Amino acid sequence: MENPPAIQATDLRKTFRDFWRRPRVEAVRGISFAVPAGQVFGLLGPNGSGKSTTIKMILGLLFPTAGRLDVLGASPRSVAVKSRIGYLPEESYLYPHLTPLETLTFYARLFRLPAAVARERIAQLLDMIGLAHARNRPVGEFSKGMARRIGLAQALLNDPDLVILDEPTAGLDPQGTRQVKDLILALAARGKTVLLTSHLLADVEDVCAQVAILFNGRLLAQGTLDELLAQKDKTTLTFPTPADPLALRKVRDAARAALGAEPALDHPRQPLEPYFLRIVESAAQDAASPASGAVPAAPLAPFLQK
Amino acid sequence: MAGAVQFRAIARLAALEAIRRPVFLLVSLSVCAGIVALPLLLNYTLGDSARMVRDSALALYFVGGWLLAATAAGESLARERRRGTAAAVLAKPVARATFFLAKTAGVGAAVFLYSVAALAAALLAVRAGASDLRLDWTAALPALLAAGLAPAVAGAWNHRTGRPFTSAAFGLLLAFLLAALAVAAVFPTPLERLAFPANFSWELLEVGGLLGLGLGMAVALAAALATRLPVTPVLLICAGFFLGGLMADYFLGPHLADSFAARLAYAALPNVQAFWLLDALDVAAHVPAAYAAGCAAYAAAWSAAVLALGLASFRSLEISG
Repeated sequence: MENPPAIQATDLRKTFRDFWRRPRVEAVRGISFAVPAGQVFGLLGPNGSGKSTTIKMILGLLFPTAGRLDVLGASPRSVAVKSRIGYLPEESYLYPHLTPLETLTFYARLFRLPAAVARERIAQLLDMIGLAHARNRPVGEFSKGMARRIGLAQALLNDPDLVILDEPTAGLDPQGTRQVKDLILALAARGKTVLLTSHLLADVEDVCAQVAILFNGRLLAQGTLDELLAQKDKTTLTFPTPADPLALRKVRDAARAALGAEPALDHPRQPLEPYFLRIVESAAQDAASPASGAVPAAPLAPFLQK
Repeated sequence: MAGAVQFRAIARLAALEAIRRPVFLLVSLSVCAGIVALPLLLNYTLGDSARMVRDSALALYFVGGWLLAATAAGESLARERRRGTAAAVLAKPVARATFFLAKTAGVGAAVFLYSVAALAAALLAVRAGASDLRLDWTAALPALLAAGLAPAVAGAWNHRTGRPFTSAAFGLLLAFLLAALAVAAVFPTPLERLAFPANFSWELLEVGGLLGLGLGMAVALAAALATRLPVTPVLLICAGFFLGGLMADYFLGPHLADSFAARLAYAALPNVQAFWLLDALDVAAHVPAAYAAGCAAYAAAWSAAVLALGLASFRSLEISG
């Protein structure tokens, strides 16, 4: 039997009202979608399209004006359900005078983790996000990217079944971005459900199995990336560049003869991200002095690999 | 109990945040420094200066405490909403009731620490000014040193270690005042012809405790209002309730028998004058236990009612930060 969706929204609406209870903004206008359990689902759209409002309704922070919303089979306002959710907000909402260690300890207490488990997970997460060396510095002194990493760690403390990431790569350097994407894929491989929003469509493309596109509170498109993006009327053939230029001409002529159309021949370009990461990691290995910011992070925290 | 762990964590953080606000230190330091300076200002005046020191010290404590309670409780919740940390916490398995009540309790704990500091200062000031003829320097000097040294040492510590100045200064103020109390206790007062019989007027703590109940009511009121309002309206409304509560007997008392509206308004206003028992101390050595219990029950019932309204408001509040 197929697993029930992790999130099911049916004709979901949200209207913000002014002081006199008059409708002011219709932020979400009757959207329906289902986030399958164990998949990475992207909620996309320009600013003001209703993504963050939808996420806050999923978290029970905002209340739908109409429609139905089920999260892990229960109401989003259920406290029990929230113990299975990890949430990374768009802005890093942190207490500025607390250190990373104190911040994560505070959130571990909110998740009611036993002290020994909390200590172990916090140590692993600090290693994972590359901030173990800065564990005793107030987070108010951190850069946006470093604060973002703390936000990510607090979202994973409870080893959640559903991870909600609002712009997870915003403010991160390419290494941090790659790490977050690897983390998302690793979580999905463990059967966790990930719902993310992002303006960075290349990041979404790298990790999401399905996406929904919102605009002005309405759902414009929804489906797997293959369904939405595959150009069925075009085909790519990739092969090693032959040493003899004549061989390439023969391939082109054969294709032209067989298809009756001029084929496009060029060299595929590798994405910038792996190139950048390769040269930066090489430079980091050669560097003698320790970094003051986030350091290249350790692999996935062991408790997230079990 | 698992809920208790969450409650303690949130309350502790709320207390720490309240104490780290500059306004908390500003009010605490002003009140404590003002109280310990009272004997210098009021002594050598003609007649009843000892009683003026005592009454002024407790009045400063209560008015400053009301301001502090309203500011700290109002800021605590409003800041969490504004900064988005309320959303981050309520996205965790934390019941809204736990969050709201723990925040209120945390601010209450901070106000309690303020009360300890201010009452220690009041005990020292009353002893220092217990005679109309001259000062008791065995109490005045340690008290003045405590109030003066706390910000200076905290500033030096901040310069050296970078640790937060405000919480350090408040912590040192509290510690130094308690230490001053201990030092003064070692030396019996050298004064003669005292206005009050003992080394320390411990009965001040009984009245101070009653006034502390009033500050608890202020915390509850400000926390409830802060679920919907920003800090400035919270402060204005709290000030209105304070003045209304002080004058309720005079304005509403004559109409209580025949007016439902007057009875309603009288019940809604915090009857803070019931806690001001200094005049009664002049005729009796102690506050009667039954009266104190009645005051505690009144403050608890009033605060519970206000917190219930605040909780109902907070449960239906949308957190969009």
